[in-house]
Amino acid sequence: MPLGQGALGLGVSYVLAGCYLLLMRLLGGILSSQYPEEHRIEWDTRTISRVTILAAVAGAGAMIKIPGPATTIALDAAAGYFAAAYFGWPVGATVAAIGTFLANALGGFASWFPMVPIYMCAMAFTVTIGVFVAKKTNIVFAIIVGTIVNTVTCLGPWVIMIGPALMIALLPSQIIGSAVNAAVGLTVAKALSSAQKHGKREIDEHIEPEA
Amino acid sequence: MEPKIVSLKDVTFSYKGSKRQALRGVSLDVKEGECVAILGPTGAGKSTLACVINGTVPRFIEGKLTGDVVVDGQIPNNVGTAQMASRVGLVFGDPDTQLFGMTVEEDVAFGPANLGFDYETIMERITRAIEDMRLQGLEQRAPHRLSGGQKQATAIAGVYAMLPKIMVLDEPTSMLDPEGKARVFSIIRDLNKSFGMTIILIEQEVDDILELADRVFVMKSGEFVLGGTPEEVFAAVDELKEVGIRVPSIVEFGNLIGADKTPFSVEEAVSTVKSGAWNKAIVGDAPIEDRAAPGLSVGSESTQDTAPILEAVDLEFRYPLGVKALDGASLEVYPGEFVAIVGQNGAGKTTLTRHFNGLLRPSAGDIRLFGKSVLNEPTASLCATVGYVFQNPDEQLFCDTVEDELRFGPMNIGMDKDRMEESVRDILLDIGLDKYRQVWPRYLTKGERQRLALASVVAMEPEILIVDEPTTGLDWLESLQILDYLERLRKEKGKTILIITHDMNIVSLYAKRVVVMANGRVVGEGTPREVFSQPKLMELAYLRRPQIADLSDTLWGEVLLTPHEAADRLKRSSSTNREVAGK
Amino acid sequence: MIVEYESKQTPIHRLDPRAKFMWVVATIIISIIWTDPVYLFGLGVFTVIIGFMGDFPWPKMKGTFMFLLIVTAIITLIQGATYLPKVVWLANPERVAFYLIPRWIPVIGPAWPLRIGGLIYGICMALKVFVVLIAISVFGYVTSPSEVVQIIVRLPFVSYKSGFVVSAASKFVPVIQMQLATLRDAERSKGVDFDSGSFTEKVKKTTSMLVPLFANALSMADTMALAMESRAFGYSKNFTLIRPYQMQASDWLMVVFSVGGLVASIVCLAVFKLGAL
Repeated sequence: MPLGQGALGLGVSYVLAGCYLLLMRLLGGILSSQYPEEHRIEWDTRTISRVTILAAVAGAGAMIKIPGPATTIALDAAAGYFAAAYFGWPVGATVAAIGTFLANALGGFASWFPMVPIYMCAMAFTVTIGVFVAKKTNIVFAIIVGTIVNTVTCLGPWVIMIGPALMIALLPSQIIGSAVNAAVGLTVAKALSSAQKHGKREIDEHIEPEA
Repeated sequence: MEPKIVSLKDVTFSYKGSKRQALRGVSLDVKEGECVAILGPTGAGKSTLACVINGTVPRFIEGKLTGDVVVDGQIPNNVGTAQMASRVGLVFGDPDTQLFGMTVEEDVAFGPANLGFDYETIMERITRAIEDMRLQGLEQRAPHRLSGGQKQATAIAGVYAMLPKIMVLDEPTSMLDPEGKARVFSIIRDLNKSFGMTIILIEQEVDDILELADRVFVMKSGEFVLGGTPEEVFAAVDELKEVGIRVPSIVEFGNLIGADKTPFSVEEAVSTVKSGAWNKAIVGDAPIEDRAAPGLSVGSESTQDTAPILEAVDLEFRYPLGVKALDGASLEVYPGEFVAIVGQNGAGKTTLTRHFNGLLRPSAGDIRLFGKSVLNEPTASLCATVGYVFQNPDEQLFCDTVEDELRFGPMNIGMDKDRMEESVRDILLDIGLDKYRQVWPRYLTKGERQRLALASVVAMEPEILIVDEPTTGLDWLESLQILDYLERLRKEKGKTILIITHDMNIVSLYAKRVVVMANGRVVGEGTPREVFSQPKLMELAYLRRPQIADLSDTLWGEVLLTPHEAADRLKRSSSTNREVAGK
Repeated sequence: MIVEYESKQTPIHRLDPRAKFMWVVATIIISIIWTDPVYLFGLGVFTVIIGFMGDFPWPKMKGTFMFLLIVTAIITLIQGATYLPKVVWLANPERVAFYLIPRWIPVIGPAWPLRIGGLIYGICMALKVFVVLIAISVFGYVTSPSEVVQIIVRLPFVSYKSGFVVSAASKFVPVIQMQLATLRDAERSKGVDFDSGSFTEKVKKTTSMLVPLFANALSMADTMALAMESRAFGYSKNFTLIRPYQMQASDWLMVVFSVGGLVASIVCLAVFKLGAL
């Protein structure tokens, strides 16, 4: 029985969003303790500037539209995945949340505004579980899990409020969009760090003769 | 004597994880109120030095620092960057990354607000900074709606509002057009002369620092190789050329004619010549070896007989929700030409050239390639004939290795594989990147990246090459490498070259024809000599001709382009004078 | 924002940003708790009036309205077909309005009845979406982005740093967008055709420009960090905000009106069931 788009439905959805955050903390906590070098973050100026720029990339990414089979796909969540894989989950979750906010704000809050905080929590949780799975298994599993979690967490509140009908209508585009974003974000992070490591050796060779 | 405000003694620094020393035994004393200019090729360690002075190296950017650094009586490394921020202001080249506020006013407030001053103090400082940096009326403007010069002025105002005694400016004009450059240099002059600030200016623009700097230092590979008054430094022409620094043309002229006192401005040079304070003997020996491209003295090649390869006919274009960027622009380009398009930012140069390979489509007018309209031809196929190189190499390199980067375009247009591999091999040798074929392009130096970006378009073997501001952010030597390569492509392969540039020295050295744009139209064209002879045209397009052109125009009423030409002219006129005197 | 802020001298523009913020928050909360379409319509009318007072450019919303109309029409139909609230004031909510598959289609018709109660509920939800959208758009039109950030930063529990990140990030969005456009044009200039190919190919073409985009973003972040550090970012705990706003009588009026309206509607809903279906 749907709870409606009123105070009750929205309230329960917000509680659900709180659960996303709790789960995120839990998984993040495991990551931080097991991989402190990658996932324990100090909030210094450098981290803050990274979050800022990557959130801007997420906001701008929302405007990239790839014409897809069901609907056009925006690359708004890719920056969050990228940030989580490259700089650790706390950075990724923050980028995902702020990026989601910016993407919605720049799109004129065309989706219902009271949902935005829920989406923010959902995306933060999604990228965290994405890197968690990537770390524990591999990227393919991470993309699959990320896609499922993204779809469920973003559409879940709508099911609570107005029932499953809308969810079924939105499902295909949501799944494709989530999958593309997860794949893009995680592979770009991998590509970039491998290019960097690959070139690292080269750069020493490159500069040394000059000295 | 004024007290020393900056004192570096035998400073050495290497970045964390790198064996190379970015600074090697640098010593520098700066007196209060002095303006010191630091020149040098990219990668010489100039920016590292700037960061050492304000303490961000090694506190924020880690590495190993040895030697003594004392700035305003403090050791930056012990004080902390925040406290240093109110003593040393640091301004960078890219204005976009150093503006944080939603409005100009907020951005200026950022520094003082971080220091925790109260509201009245902050407003007082904002008002003063905005007034002194001449930003009145722009207080509520969003930074991304400012011109380049205004953005940089805002960045300087933001640092100025923290009331530092020393201002370190790291290539503050590298991204600006001539108008923006002039604005920033006049601000720097105010800071130093009117507000008594100590200035440490890192620059590539040698012409502009001449009158500004009290002392000049030249860096190479982390060391000072030259230092002293501008007179002393610029007299060492051979050393400067070896480091790769362009000698200001007026100074070179002075050196060529053996002037008693090196002239630093057109006026000084004129009075030197008129008063006869130069050594007539030396002129006769001056080698007339122009590094200038062929065709310079020949004048314009007669191309009007052949059919144009590329034509723009009465183009009109308006950006969505924006101003009219093109308003009836027409241009003809002939095969094998080297054309430079000049004009202020916003004149429509980039907008015009982006029509040539179909990136933009005009709302009225026509584009013809080999006489045929190509308005409906997609970019994907046009790009095989019209190559377009963008301004910033980092925004056009997509692949993991240098080699792949060169293959990217040819593969997209379906070039034959053997032909592609052969051309990639040739190009790698041609641009001197053969050693780095497996390197990630981002690890190349800026000059190498720019060459690679250019080469990645050349690899598609287009007939016409359009290059948008190829020398932005490069030092003089790197700029020459790029332009020499373009000139080789023109001469050896018969390519047609179109460059957009603000650098009039480049224009006078390489361009066979100059196209002047203003307000979305082509307002004039001709050889560099012809264009520089039209002061009204230059003024309309906010252009400043090379100083040597000013000098020769004042002295003899004709426009010359290089110091050697001018020295030669002087020699001829003086010998005729002597003959006249003899009679 | 669909409609960007414009600096004008209307009575709404002149209000203190905090007063405007109170209004938009009150409107959103009231629209959430009310479920009666008549009440919601009234709230919508009031929002539109505020918009007119602020000289809001309505034609710019046309595209969004059309899009939302389609979305909400679908939601309304789905609601009508699937959901049946216990309507208080409607005599017979279970009455069938019409069938999605009409009677005259043989064999399968009539099927999928749309019930009055569900339709009304669907309309109510569509109204909620519209009210919130209009309220936020009007707010964005009459409040400058810098004022919005000033409000966010002044909220309790929001640290100055997080406010800074949001404001600086929104400032950098146009910069990144320019870069994306250039990267795309650069790819096109090297023979990449974004319009052709299968979906996976299109994704590939688009993502190939993301590696340089992210790499550029990271080096931009490094320069930015250096610039922030050079301007003493994070030095003092109390970051001084410019513009200590002074509330005028009209601002207080707006605040009292918004807060009063909110409290009144909550009380009336709780006690008298006013505004509920």
